[in-house]
Amino acid sequence: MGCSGRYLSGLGVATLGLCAAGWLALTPYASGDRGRGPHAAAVTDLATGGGLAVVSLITLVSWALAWRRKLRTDAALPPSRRQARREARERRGTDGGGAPDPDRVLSELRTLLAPLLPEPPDAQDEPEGIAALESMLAGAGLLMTGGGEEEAW
Amino acid sequence: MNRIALGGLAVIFGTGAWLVAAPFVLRYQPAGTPWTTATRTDVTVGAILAAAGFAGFLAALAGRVRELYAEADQGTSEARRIESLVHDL
Repeated sequence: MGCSGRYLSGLGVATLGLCAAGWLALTPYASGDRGRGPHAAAVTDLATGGGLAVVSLITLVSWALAWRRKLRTDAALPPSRRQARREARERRGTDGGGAPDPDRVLSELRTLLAPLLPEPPDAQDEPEGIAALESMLAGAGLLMTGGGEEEAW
Repeated sequence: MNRIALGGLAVIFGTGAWLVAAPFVLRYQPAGTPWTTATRTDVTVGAILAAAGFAGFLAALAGRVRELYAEADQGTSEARRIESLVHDL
């Protein structure tokens, strides 16, 4: 029966309940038995039918909504308009925060790359690794300032 | 939402049981006499509703349990995959 079996059974039983409610509401008129006294069968049927109709309707709507939500979760249905709008807003919020500050990015990059370089043998001569790193960062800075207008970081 | 839906099925079952019992509880079916048309109708509709409500409730519950098992299996296999990736590193 698969995953949809539980939703189908719920919808089926709710529909059956709705039909039974209609039948109960119509039976006293169809059979001509309008009932006598407060405990007559017709009064019971009408009251039970009315209550059953309300409950069946609520159950039917609940199962339909639960199934729709499940299908949306499994991506079998496209997201609702409200959900799509919310996702688009969230995407704009993360993307559209403006380009990050190049100086801050470079300093973070410098901090991240520094531990990867070998320790200089002695502090006297200028370490080649630091120089290479500085030239690399300068190149990255040039790239960022050059392409900053076109590319959103 | 699922609780309301499941509760609705339980109420439908209860309504069916009530319809079966109503003629005897409310005494519009005299004891020792053949069943009236109203009694026959109520008992028949009530029995169908009760059976359908019970079967639907059980089917919905079984489906939910199956979903929970599937989610647990998915989580376990995902954890094993991550573990093997970490092990490979």
